[in-house]
This record gives sequence, C-alpha cells and structure tokens, in this order.
Amino acid sequence: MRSRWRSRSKASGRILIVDEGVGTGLRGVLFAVSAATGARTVLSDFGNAASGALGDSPIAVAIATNGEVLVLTDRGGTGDRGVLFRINATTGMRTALSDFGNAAQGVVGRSTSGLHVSAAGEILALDSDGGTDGRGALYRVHPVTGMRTVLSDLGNAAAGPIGVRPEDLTTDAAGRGLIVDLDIKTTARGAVSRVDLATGARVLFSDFGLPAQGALGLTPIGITVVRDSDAIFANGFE
Amino acid sequence: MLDPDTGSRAVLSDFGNSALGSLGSDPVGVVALDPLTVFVIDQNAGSGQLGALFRVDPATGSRIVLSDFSAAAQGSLGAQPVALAVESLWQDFNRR
Repeated sequence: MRSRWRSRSKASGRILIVDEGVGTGLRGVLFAVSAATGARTVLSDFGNAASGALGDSPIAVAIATNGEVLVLTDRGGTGDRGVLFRINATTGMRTALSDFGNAAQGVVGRSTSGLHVSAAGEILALDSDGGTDGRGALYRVHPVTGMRTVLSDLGNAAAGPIGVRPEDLTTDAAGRGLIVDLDIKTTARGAVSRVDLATGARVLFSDFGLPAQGALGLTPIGITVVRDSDAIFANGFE
Repeated sequence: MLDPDTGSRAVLSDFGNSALGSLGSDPVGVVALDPLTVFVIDQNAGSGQLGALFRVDPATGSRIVLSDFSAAAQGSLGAQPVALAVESLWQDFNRR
C-alpha cells in the first residue's frame, strides 16, 4: 500500500531539532533549521518561562496533524519523569499536554525516549524503562487530554520479542509501528520490531546481529520511513 | 537502509568513510524529507563537536553538512542535538 503523503520540492520546509545541552539554565531548546540553507533559529527555549511551561532535556520531536510541534522531554514535570509539550510552530509557545509523572494522566513513565505521530494522527511515545521489568513500553497519548495508555508492553513476551532499550519509533505505509531497540536479539546488536498498533502484538523485523539480513549493525538508535518510497532508514553509532 | 518487506539491510552511508563526505561521530536521529533527501543529526559532529545536521543522498550515500552547530554564522550554537523532524511532511499531508 502506498503512503498518502506527497513530498514538496527537495529543499523546502524546516527541520526541527531538539538540543538538550543549550538554552536558559541548559534546559534545552527547539531549533528551526532551514532545509535550504541550514540557518538555525531558536523556536522555543525550554528554560524561558515567558514561552510557557518550563521543560528540561528535550529528547524527541514530531509534528502533529494540526501543524503543532510536539516535543517529549526526559526530565521535568511531576517527579522529573518527563513531559510531552505542544508547541506553536510560529511563536514557540509551549503547553504541557501530558505529564509523565502525573498518574491522573495514565501510566506513569520512567524514562521517555521516542515520539511519533502516525498517519492517522495518533501520538505514540516510547518509554525505554517502562513496562514489565523495565523492558520498555509503547504508549498512546490522547491529543487533547494527554491521557496515556499502554499500547504494547515490551516486557510482555506473550506480545512478541522482549525489549531491552527501545529508543525510537515510526510507522510504515501499512500503518504498523516500527520500534528500534539498541540492544535486543543476536549478540545484542539491536533490532527493529514491528508492532500492530491495534493489538500491541510485536514481531521481529530486522535483527542487526543477523548476517543473513545484511550488513551487521550496532546500537541502532533512529528510524524513519520515506513516505513516497516506503523505504526505511535506521542509524546508529559506535 | 532496510527493505520494507523483508527487513534486510544495506549500508547507505558509512559516517566513518570520508570519501562519502564529512565524517560523523554519533549519529542519533534520521528523517526523510522525500525519497531524494535524508537528514541525519549527529550529536558530536561538526567543527567544534557541538553537533551537525547532515543531508544524505539516498542514491549514493554521499553526505554534506547542512548545519554545523558549532558555526555561529549559521545561527545559535548547539551543544547536543539529539532528535529531529521535518515540518513539511505533515503540511503536505494536510493539504490533500
């Protein structure tokens, strides 16, 4: 099935990048970078209270279907468990959507990691230490109330391969989730699992320690899908 | 690059191979604007190791540094850029 996305010209648009080491009080910033020139501007400084609720250590960013920017922080909020912010793409003003330490908004998070908005507009967030035995959890976050529900418990072997340290996620053209995990499977080189977003069931998709699937990887940490070709890119380091 | 049907892998761009462009250090995030343009954020690359945004050609794997987070001439300095998203994907989706 082909994606519904269309692409614009090669160098149009802005690239939004979170940096956790700069800004007021070193709480982090959201940069807007020109895809044509690479010029950077600070769209939102998480240590500047004049721009809304304070944040700390932004680690993931996604674009909502209404054009708002969503940023997930690793710290801040109740118990320093991280916050999901909605950010105005023009002004940089922030609103806290989901406080991962607030049990009134659902399952309490432990160590937030990845964030993605599906083609259907669902907000998906990863917790690398959530779920059973701290093996990771995939949450669905309500776009209005910020309520969190567990979509897939990566510590539940009945739902598929056990996680170790899930770091990033995306969705493919068929609407399935793809989770990249730094450490699981053969020789602990990492893997990508596919997730049924209706049931939370997982299957192993690409084992980065398995030569039969191509070049070996090590600690894959990012993943994306090219919308017009359905190709999948993942990267890692070391 | 992963085959969307089988999960098989091929190396698109080796960030330690200078023949493909500027060297990377810790590439931590990837996003595609379209089939012709892939961006990678590296948290320790760049002239002062404050991070760099690479543009990668998916056909050849060649890289250029689009934004050097150590270069004040390109805007506010960075320190540890860790994730990225491309704005126009959703703008296009919404325009349908």
